[in-house]
Amino acid sequence: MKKFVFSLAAALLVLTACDPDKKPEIVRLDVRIHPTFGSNADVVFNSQQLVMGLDTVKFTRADMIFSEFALITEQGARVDLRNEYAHISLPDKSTLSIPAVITPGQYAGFAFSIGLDSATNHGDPSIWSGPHPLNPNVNNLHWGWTGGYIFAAMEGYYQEGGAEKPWLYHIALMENKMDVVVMAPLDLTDHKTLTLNMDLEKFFKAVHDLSPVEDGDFSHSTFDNGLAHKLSENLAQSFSFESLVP
Amino acid sequence: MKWRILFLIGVSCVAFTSCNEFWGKKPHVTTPYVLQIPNGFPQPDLPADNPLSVEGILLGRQLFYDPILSLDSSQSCGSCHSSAFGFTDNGQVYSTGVDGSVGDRNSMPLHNLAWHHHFFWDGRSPSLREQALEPISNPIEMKEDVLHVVEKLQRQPRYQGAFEAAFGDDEVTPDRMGLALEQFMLAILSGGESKFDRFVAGTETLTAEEQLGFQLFNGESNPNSPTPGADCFHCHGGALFTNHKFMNNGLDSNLTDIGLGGVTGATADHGKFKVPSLRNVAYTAPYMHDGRFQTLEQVIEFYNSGVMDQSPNLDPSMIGFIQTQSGSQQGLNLSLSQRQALVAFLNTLTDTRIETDTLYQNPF
Repeated sequence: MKKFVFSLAAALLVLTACDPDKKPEIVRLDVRIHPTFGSNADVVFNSQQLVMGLDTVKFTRADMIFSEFALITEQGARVDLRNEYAHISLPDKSTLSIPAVITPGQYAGFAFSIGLDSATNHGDPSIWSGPHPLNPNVNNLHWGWTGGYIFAAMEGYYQEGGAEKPWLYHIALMENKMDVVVMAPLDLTDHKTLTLNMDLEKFFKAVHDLSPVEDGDFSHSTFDNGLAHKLSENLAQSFSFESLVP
Repeated sequence: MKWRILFLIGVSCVAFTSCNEFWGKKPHVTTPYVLQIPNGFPQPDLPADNPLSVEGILLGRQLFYDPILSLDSSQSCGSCHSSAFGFTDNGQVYSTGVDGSVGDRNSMPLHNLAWHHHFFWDGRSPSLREQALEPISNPIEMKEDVLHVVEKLQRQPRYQGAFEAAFGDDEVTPDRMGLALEQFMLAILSGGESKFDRFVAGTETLTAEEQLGFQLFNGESNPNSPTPGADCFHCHGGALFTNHKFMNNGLDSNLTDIGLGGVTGATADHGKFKVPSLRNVAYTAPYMHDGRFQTLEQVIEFYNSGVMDQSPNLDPSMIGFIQTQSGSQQGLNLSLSQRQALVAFLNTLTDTRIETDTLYQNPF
C-alpha cells in the first residue's frame, strides 16, 4: 500500500512538472532594430548611396542610447521596464535583450526613449561597469568634460556639386530627448524577438523636410537654429513595427 | 566478488592520484593585482581569462625588457617603447629593427591599454596578448621565431621560476608569453597625477593660458557660436583623451598608407588610423601614424588650416575643420595665441609617473 501511495505521488509530481500548457511566469524580450531607407529594404552602411528627392546621402554611423523601455497594455496603461539601457550602433549592434521581468500576456505596444533622464545623463559616467551600455568606453557617446551624453550620433556623407561632403548630427541635451511609441499587437506569452523597422529616410523627412545642403550639414545641438530639435522630432517618428517572432 | 574488490581498489587509486593534496602539491595561488583606476576614468573591461597578478605582471615586465626576445638579443620591446618617452621610441619617426630595417609607422605610446579594444595603428590585433607577440616575429622588428624564443627562455633559470610563479609550472609557451606581456602592459597607467588631473580634483589651478586652451579643446568649431572652439574633444574627449576609434583626420588627399583598410579590405576604411590618447602627448613626439609632425605646434597648425577636405573617407567629425569660416578662410582659424594656449593645455596632460613608477621600469 505504501508503495502504491509513493508511486502515485511521484506520478503526480512528474505530471505537474511536465504540463505542456503551463506558461512561464516571466518572459524575455529581444528587440532588433532593422535599418531601412524608404523603399530600400536594407541599408548598407559606408557605401550605399541613398536618394531622397534632390539629395543623395550615405550613412556611416547611427549610434543611439535607448532607455525607459515600457510595454503598453491593451488598456493603454504603461508597464515600465526600469533600469534598462542599451547602446545601439547600427548595423553591428542592432539587438538588445531586455532581461527585466515581463509578465506574459497580450500587449498593444512597445515604447522607449532615445536619450536618458536628467539625473542619469548628468551623473558620473565612471560608475558604470566595463561592459555596461552607459560606460563611455563602450558607447563613445559621452561629452566628456562638458558633461552629458549624446543621445543619437548620426553621420555620413552627401553629394553636392559632384563632390562628397560629410554630414554630422549629434543630438543631445534634455530638450532633445526622444520618446518613441510603436503600437502593434504583441503576444508576449513566451520569449520573443521584436523587430522594429527604422526608416533612415524619415530621419530627414518624417516631420520636418530637411536636407544637408539646404538646412546645414552639421549640428552638435547648440547654435544650430533648432536643427537638432527638428532632427530629434524626425528620429522619434522613424520607427515602426516589423515582426514579432519566437 | 573478486572483480568488485578490484574495481573499488582501482577507483580509489584514481581518486588518490588525482588529488594534489594527497601528494603534497598545493593548488597554484597568485597574488591578485588591483588596477588603481584614476578618478574619473570609466571602468575597464579587463580580460576575464587573464586576471592580473603580481607574478604575472613581473614576468611580463621581464619579458618586455629582455632583448632575448629578438633574433640577435639586441632589442627588447622596451627598445622602441621607452618609458622616458611615454613608451614610444625616443623621438624617432620610425623604429629600426634588429637588422637595420626601418619601420613604416611611428611607435605607439603604451598606456591605459586596459581600455583599448584593438591594437596597432591599423587595429590589426584584437587583443593585447596577440599584439604583444607580433613584433617578435615581424621581419622589420625583432625578426625572431617565437618558438625559438620559447627555447631560449626555457634555458634561462630565472624564467623557470617566473613562469612557475605566474602560471603554476615552468612550462614556457607562446600563449603564456602573450598573457604575461598583456598583464604588464595592462598595468601601465597614465592619469590622476597630471596637472590637469589635479585641476579636475580641485587641488591645482590652471594658468589663464592653460584655461583658454582647455576651453578651446572642448569648444565646438561652429561659425554660429559666439566663442571659438578647436573641436578636439570629439575624437580626444573624456578622461582617456581618445575615443579609441579608427578615423581619417584628413592628412592626405592621396593615400600612401591605407591603414585600417589594409586590415578589413573595405574601401570605406582606407585612410583610417587609430585615434591616439593625448595623455602624455608632450612625451610622444613625433606625431601621427607616420610621425610627420615634430612638434605640437605643427600638429595644431595642421588642424587649424591643413585638413584635406578631399581626403578619402575623411571622418564626418572633421567637418568643423574644413568648413569655410570668416569669408574665404578654411579650418579652425585660430589665432597664434589661441594655438599657443592649446599647446599649453596639452602640456598639462603630462604625467611624470610614467617614467618614475618603478613598476614600469627595466628590471635588468
